[in-house]
Amino acid sequence: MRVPLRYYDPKLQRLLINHYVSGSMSYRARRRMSSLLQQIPQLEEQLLMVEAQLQSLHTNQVQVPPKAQVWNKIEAQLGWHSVRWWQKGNYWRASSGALALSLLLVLTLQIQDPSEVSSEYVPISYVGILNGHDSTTSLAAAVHRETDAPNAPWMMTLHLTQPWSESNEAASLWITDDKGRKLSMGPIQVKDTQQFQLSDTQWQFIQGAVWMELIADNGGRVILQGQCLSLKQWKS
Amino acid sequence: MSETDEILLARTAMGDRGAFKRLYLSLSPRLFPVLMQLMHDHQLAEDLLQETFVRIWNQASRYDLNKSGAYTWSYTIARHLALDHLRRLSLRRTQQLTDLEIAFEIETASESLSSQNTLNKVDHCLSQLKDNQRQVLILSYRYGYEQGELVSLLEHPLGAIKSWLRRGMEFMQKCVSH
Repeated sequence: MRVPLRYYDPKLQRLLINHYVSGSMSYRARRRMSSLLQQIPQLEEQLLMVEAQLQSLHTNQVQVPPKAQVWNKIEAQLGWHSVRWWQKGNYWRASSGALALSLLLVLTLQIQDPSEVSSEYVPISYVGILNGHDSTTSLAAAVHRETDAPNAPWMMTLHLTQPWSESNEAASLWITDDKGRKLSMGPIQVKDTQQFQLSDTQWQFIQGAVWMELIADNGGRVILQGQCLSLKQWKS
Repeated sequence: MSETDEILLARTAMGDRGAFKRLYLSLSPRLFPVLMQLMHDHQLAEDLLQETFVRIWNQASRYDLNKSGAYTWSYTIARHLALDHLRRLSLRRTQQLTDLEIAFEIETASESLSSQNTLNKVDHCLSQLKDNQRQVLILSYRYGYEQGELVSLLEHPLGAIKSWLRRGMEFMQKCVSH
């Protein structure tokens, strides 16, 4: 954009700089001024000169280092140490929502017996979406009662999008609770959908669950991992 | 050869992340109090400090050693980001300040000279300003008050505030450059 000639007038430049530096310009005027500063090098030079002259109004202060997190945020904003995908809250909200909905559909279809029309909907109490850092495999885990009867046993249903490795290595599902304790839910098969009944211990443990991991039985490699959310958390 | 801020900024312009971090460690303790003074809010000051350094990284290649020192260049970015923020939101800080705080800031502005033992050139020039001009200049420049806020704070008409500020700025520039 061409700059009008009047902005090269030293008198006007001085006036503008004074207004800009003193802070008396409105926000819109400041935006225009900022654009002019980019386009007229002499104007920027004057700005720096005036700021250099007046900055000692600010410099007689005690130095105060900011919190260490500020640097971390700068690095993150510049994309130097990107936030890992499983640390992103939005990722979890979006993926949990989408996969839990699909789980509901799967469960509804699986559990529905043509002769048992009264039990169409089984509410999910806990859901976990496990993903791999270097694979496209996802494992959705849902905890729910077997039927909508209040005393029905607790079940875990797993839905696997694709095999986690070509060799189909044996793996188990482990759950970590909010106290950092871990409990195995047992071996997981490489199947699209599988379901098993939870023991009382497992069910008790799941109520404090925060994290799920699919860990290779041989070697302990974490294949997939993800947060475990109670339905209440998931909705909030 | 010791690493001055100017050298660090030049290296930053070449994409040296280590130099950028050292520049941050050197400048941020000086810039942060400036932002605190302008924003009156710890979190906002930190957010603006972050924004300042992201801008420093992105615009480091525009820095010209012949025009200013690295601190002045960075200080100008930080200060104007803060003023942009204040003006954009039209933060009416007078409404959040207690009478005591207002009185304290006016007092500080008026007496900032007498409380210093080492008068530099700026202080010397400030001492030659009329009381009203000095008060308005410090409240505006150092604390980021806009003219409307100064009207209610100092209880003088807008025309007078504008005039004091303009004359104060003009005098200061002439005085400091002599």
